Amino acid sequence: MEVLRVEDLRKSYRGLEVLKGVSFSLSEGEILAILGPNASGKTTLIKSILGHVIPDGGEIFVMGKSTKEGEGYRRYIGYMPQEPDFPENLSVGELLELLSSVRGQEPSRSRELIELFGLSPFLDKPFGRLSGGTKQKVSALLAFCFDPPLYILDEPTSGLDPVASVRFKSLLIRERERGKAVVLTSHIISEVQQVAKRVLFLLEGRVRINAGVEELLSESGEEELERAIIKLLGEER
Amino acid sequence: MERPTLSLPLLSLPALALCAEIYVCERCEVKSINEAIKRAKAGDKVIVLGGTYREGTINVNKPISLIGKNYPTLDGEGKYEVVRITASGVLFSGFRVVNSGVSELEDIAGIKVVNARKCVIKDNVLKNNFWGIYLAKVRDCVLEGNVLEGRGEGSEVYTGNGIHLWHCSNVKILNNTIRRHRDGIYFEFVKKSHIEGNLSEENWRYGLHFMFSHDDTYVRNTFRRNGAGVAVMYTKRVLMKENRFEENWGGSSYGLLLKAISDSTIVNNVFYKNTTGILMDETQRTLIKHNDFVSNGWAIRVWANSADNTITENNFLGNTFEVSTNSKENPNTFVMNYWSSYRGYDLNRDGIGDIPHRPVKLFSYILENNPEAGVLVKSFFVELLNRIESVFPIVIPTKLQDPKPLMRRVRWRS
Amino acid sequence: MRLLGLTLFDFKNLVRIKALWAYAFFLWAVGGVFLYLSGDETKVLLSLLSITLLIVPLVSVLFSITHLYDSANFIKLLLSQPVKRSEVLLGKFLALSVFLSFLFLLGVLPAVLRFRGEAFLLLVLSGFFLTFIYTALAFLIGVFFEEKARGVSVALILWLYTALIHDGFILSVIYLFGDYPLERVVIGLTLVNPVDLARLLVVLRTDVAALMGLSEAVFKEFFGSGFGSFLSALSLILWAIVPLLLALWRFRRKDL
Repeated sequence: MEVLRVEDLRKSYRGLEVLKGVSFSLSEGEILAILGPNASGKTTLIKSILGHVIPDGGEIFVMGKSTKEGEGYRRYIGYMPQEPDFPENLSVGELLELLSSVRGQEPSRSRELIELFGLSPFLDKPFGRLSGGTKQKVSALLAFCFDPPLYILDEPTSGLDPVASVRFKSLLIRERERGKAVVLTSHIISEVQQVAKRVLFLLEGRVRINAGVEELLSESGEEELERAIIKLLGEER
Repeated sequence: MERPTLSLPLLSLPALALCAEIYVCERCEVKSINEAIKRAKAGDKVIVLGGTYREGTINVNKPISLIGKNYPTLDGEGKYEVVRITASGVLFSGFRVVNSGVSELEDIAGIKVVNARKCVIKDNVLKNNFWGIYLAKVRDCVLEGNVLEGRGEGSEVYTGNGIHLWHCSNVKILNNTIRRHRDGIYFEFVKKSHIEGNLSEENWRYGLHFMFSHDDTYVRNTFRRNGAGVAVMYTKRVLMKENRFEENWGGSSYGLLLKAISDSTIVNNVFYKNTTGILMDETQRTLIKHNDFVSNGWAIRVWANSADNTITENNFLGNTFEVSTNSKENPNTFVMNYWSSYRGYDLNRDGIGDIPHRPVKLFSYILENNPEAGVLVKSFFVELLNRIESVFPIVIPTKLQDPKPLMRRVRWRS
Repeated sequence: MRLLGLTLFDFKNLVRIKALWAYAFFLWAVGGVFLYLSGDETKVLLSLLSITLLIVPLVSVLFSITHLYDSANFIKLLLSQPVKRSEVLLGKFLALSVFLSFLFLLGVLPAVLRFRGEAFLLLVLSGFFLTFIYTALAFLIGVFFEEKARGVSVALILWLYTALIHDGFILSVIYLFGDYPLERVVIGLTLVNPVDLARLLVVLRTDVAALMGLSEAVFKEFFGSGFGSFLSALSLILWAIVPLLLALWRFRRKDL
């Protein structure tokens, strides 16, 4: 089933075209990595899906609902920002409570995830007093606990220690197996290779590569995704 | 109530005394005061015992003494002038005089004295009268120890003056208390009179108001919380000494308003919490010395039409504005006063500050010329401006200054 | 309901910011010192008024705008949930303005309870108005300027202008054009500045109004009249509502 579809998405800031007609779709059980250099349009694309940026043209559907129909579609999204920057004086429990009240949903998976991330000792602590890694885990907890069909994860492993990072990746794979669709960005392409099924490579506001990871590797004859991408882009020129 | 039978034998022993005593009371032989006056001869005493007398107007037209015992009440029933004295040498004392008539055309009074000399009006209580004690063309009279309370209605239109003198001379007004009249004490064409020890407070307009009244003396009076304070106008050679001007507060209220006053002396007075301590409008050759100006809005406002006045050895203590003027020049002499806001120093220790004091602030100068600036009262900008001025006095646009400010308060009180 | 929830959570966060309690404590201490130094009702009132006119706008605009910039990331997280943008911004506004008003009330409470005069109630009212107005202005500035440093500078300039420079401007106008009848102009100039309106709201109810001299009657008549009260109330309400609505309007169309 199709979870996310982006059709001919366009956006410009003060005359500067950032997205020049981006289209792709994502089905359940898929992990899509959005890659690209700085200013390629990655951030704008993600912001458009989340509703932070209002597109100039094109349309986005989440679970078949157009984002133009209002904020309701966001109940299908769990978002994990690049940097978890939440109110310092609210405790983890209160943050959970806040999102729950705002979404009108029960955090059905919170117990399971708290256990998985080892967060139970921190539930009553103010967010501002937590370590960077713990904050990242809290951020993941908030994104996953409402069990939405689509996750949008912006550089999810950047603040995690290697052990936590490995655990997180295996969590992602399990989520994929449970039928979730995941959109993630990362600057570590090797990491993407381990979890992502497909790659969307943006350059100057256009989709340059939209292909399965396996497919990319076999086509290029490379073993590493990074090299495969470079090779493919080089061939196009 | 009255002392009946016992006193009757006294009455029945007439002719022995030089002057007869006629008693009036409910159970006396004479029950009406007017009747008693009719019976009395010059020099007689009419003694009225307690009780209430409603006789329209009591006409005192002979030189007799009217003496109330236990404060008999004379009631004008809101219709009549209560007491009218038209003879000289009358003593009127010890009565409660209440409820005179009210008229828009006539000045109806509780006690009116017309064309008389040598009257004494003493120790009476006057309540709820239109005018209180009204003297017209009277000389050599004494008003002493009377208490006057005007009609309670909150308007100067329906209330006359407390003690009102018109074309009088050589009158003494001593230790009276006047409240809630239009003007507490009002003089018009009153000469060589002496006003001492009176309390005039909470009158609708002025506590004391006089016009064209030369050579008068005001000593140890208190003028407190009057609608517009005290106004003295068109008068020469006034002496005001040891009076207290207190809490006369309001947009157009003054401790003392001097309008067209010359050659007068204002010494040893206290001006406390008035909007304006003294406002000098067309005031000439007047000495203001040894006064205390405490916590007034303005201690002194001098308009450009006032000149040759001397303001010296006064204490200016905690006034919002010390002096205000609408003139760039300084035709008056401000010298050797004590200013509590003075921030100068005295290196040679002679008790006189080494730099002049400039008591006029820029804001008060602008306000004096442009009343609209009043909208900025208590504005932070204005407060800041005043602070800056105390550091850089150069911005003050007037020459008014005290070249010899005193370092210590003047001790003029004994 | 969602708005209420957002407001309450913002409230919870604000309540735990110690620096904000210092604001209430500062007002409280200043009020206490005035009460201690002078039992005189008018003096205490006017001292508190001066502080209120200066500090309340400053704290409201400065704290609100920095708080807004500092919460930018969390606002984005919230907006990734099924919430309307207006709800998030309005919730923040309500939490901030109500809590700042509450702290203000707490700060001046000892003096208010001590004297219980009408003028003190008006002081509280004008403090509330100023809090709402300057919080709304902070939101407007915060929504229009991306950069924190620039937004904070604009907020400070706005504060400086309304709290100080505008009165200097009025005084200059009066000084320069004193020969013309200026009452209407001056009334107009005070109506456009919330700090002046708040000041007059209290000052006209006190004895100090007498220092306005001849103009007292004129201003009293205007601000005391039905029309004048209506205009001043309208101006204060517009000062709070218009910036807020503009901020909401802009925020709903803005790329975050």
